[in-house]
Amino acid sequence: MKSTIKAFILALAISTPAIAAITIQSACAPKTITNPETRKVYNTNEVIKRFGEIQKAVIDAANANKIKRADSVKIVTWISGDAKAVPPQVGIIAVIATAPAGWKATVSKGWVAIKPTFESNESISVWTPIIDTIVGGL
Amino acid sequence: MDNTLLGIVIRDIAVPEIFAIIARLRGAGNPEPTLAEVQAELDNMLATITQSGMDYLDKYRT
Repeated sequence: MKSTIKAFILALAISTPAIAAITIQSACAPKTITNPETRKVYNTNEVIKRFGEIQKAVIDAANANKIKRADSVKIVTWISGDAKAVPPQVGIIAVIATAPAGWKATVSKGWVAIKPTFESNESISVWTPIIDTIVGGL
Repeated sequence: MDNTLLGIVIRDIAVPEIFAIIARLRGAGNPEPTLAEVQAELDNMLATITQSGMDYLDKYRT
């Protein structure tokens, strides 16, 4: 039984790109949602969910001392924004929600700036191709 | 990839997403939600994530 579980975990570890593909694929509205406006909002919601998952993973990694606190603060600020900063900073999820059709240019610009922070931290670098896909695809 | 990250991937992405896909394939849940329902979920999700981020930033604000 233990070896079956180990084999399953190993298979998942090897298939990280497949997991990413599943994640991205599932960010597209199901075909059962036919209303174009509903599909648009659904897709926006799925993209925001993915960034919520990334933010949670970054916070978890920082709490487990896997990444520097300063790096986690930078990423969380990028994702959620900081209403208490002077001047206040708008997060990418607010940008995505506000402009579902035109967020990619703004988010891409920020992603280029913050990408090295992901790449230089082994415990969160797995998110790099996922964010590349979210920002570049869909 | 370390074990912690693998745990995060399995717990927070893979399993919920796989179940979500299965649920959709089976036609479970709400196959044709209204725009208002989806918009409400989006607003709720946005508020939850933003609040979570703000709570974290407040904790470590210098």
